[in-house]
Amino acid sequence: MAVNRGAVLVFALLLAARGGTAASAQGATAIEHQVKAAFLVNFAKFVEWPPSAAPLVICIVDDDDFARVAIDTIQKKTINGRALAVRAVGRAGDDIHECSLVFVASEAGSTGRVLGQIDRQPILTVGESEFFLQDGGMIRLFRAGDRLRFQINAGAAQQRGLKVSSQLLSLAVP
Amino acid sequence: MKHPIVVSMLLLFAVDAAAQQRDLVDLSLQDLMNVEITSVSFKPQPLSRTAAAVYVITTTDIERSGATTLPDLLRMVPGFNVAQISATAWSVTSRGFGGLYANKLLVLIDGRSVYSEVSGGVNWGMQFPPLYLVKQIEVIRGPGGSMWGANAVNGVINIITKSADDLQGTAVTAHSGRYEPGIIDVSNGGAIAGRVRYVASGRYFQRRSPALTGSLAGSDRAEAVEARTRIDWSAGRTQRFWLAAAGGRTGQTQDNSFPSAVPPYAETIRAVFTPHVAHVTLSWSATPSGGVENSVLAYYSSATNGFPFVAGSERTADVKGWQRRSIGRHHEIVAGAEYRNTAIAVTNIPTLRFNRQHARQHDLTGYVQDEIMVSRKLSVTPGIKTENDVSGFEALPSLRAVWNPTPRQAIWASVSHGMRRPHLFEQDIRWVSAIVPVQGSLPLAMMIEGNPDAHSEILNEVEGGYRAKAGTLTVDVSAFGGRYHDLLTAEPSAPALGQELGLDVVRISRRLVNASSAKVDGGETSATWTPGSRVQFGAGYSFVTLTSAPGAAEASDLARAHTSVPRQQWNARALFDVPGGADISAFFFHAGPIPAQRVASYNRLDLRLAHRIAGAARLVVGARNLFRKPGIEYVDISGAVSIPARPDAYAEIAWMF
Repeated sequence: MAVNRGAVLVFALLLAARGGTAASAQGATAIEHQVKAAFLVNFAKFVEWPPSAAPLVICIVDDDDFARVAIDTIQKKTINGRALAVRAVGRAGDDIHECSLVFVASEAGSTGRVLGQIDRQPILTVGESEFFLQDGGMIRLFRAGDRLRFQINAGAAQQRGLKVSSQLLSLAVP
Repeated sequence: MKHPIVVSMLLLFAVDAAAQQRDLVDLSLQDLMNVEITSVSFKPQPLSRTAAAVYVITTTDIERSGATTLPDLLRMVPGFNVAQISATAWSVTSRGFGGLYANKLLVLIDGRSVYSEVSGGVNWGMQFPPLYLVKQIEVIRGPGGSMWGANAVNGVINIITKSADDLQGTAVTAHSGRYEPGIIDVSNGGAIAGRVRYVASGRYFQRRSPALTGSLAGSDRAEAVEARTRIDWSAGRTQRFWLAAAGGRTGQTQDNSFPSAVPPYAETIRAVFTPHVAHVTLSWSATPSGGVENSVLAYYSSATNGFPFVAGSERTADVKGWQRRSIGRHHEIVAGAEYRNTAIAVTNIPTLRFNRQHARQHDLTGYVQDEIMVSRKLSVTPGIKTENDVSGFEALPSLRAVWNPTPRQAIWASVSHGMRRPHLFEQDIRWVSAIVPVQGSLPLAMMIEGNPDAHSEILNEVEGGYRAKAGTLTVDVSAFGGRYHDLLTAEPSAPALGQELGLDVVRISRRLVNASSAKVDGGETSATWTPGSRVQFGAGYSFVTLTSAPGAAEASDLARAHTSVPRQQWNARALFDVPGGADISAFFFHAGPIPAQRVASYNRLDLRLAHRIAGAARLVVGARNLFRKPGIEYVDISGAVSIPARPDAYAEIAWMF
């Protein structure tokens, strides 16, 4: 049962190397998250909500890692004169009614349940699941090779009183 | 391994991160769409809400494992017992009851069952799909009867392949290794019109024996060609179709020890056989409104000549439909029905005969489950499946609950039920397993006889588990205890005079009867630590104990020995992404001994290094089974000759256009 000495050596080596890599590697996760957060800001720029003075609240459902990055990177921005706020919400969809934009990560599971609670309110829904638009979501953000792309269900947005700019529509994947 | 190379590669990590600090938020949408995000390799596993022991093998896992066959890929699943018997045969099972025809594990590829109704279990020697086509593999350990129906006794594997959308463009891969001298994969994907996309792929595949002795033992090999295509179509916002078709043939050689009519009454015979597989699958799904999803899946599949010596075929036509519907805030209901028609044909050989050479089976099943959100933190899911088939009407219930004390923790428990139907071999077989000479008397013919009255084997199991995600760490623990009833064992019947293989013999027969029961318990745990998107570490450990109930006939000792699995197994992995397009992976596996089969414990290390060259091309080098003394991993009851596994090295080059 003796574990081969060579195997132990390789593992010890791999483990020893870890210490130096952890901190820098954290940055790479942040980059994907930063790109996503930047997409959310851009979506918010090109969508018109019913007039309101309240801050634009971006809610991240059930993905604390992304929420943390989003808070760091986009919290203090303003869009068309409205302040931006980022909030992490649980999958049960608590306080979803105060959100202007809801982001459902592919990890978050039951997209249907979150979407079901939004009802008729003017909330922009952005999601990553394959069937997000079919489920009634408005913008699907997805990876195509090395890059992020998005699709839009403009009808769903319109039904809830949101206007999607033609510029955004023209960049969307049909 | 040269240490300085590894160390210098690892040092590169530090340089990269600082360079990438830019404020992406200020980029325009057009620029943003051009930002490359390739470095995101290690998405932490989602914290599943399923109240079952679930493990997901992701696209990244598949790529990084360096595995070229499905069984080798499944080695990383804690609680799975994977053992190679020869170049083309494996024992793959979950939580015990192994064997070449391990029959308590259900395997589906895109919803299509590849479980054989002829022999029970999955003929892995007929399943060599290119693994780059696989998107993910969901593995559920424990009984899945209430959802998946018959034969999902100790586990279910759902293999999901990529859609045409995921495979656009052209890719060519060439692979060569010590035991897989030539594998060529070609795929091309494009748009037919607007939202209709296609992908077509072809493969040539070779495996040869790790024995390489030149003698008869060790001639096990396979040579496969296959072609497949898939068309995906999104119609409007609410409907999706896909059509997949594939066909292939595998030329195989396998050595089997066989009884013979002349002294020493046993010989090793090389079987040369050519399995053919083909299938066509059509899927439709629609989401007419937010909370409703309807799906229909229909397939026809055919598998012929999958066994050494016995010619035969199995043709299946299957149609199933299901609906998922949220009712209010508290209920999510899934209900479905399925009809399957299986036609089986086999031929007889002197040592293996069947009472029926043709059989047709009709199965009608229905199921319903309701996920009830009792509160924000607690959901309870009762479910039931009913089966109407050869064994009559059977009901398979389950009750599952999951509690999320915080969003990042889940505690689950379940009571579930699994059922395995007797297959054709068990009902109809007359198998001469050995001829034993006796001094001064007629030789004995050791026989196994099937039983047309055999009924289903049953497992009732209680399981529980805990999953948590804390920062960069995920932990998954599960424990189970169950009892098998009505296990089929070969019980002795009275000796009789007869003729076998042209010899006058005394038949010593054992007849298959539902006479045994067994207790099973064990646990599995796995953890991953992802300190960053460029580094991941993982480990898994499992143990299982199977105890046959006292009173089971001594005859079942034989069966018990030949379905044994290692009591304990563990594995560990380390994955690194090196800036500049390279990555390094190491997987280590340990399996304990199987004393009943005289199989020693073993350790195996698989290493893989991939490097992106000139943009679209990628070079991979790797080695498997390192630091290992040649040793067999399993001794199967069927007489398939076990071939020792040996270290192996390979290189691979892939181009994408």
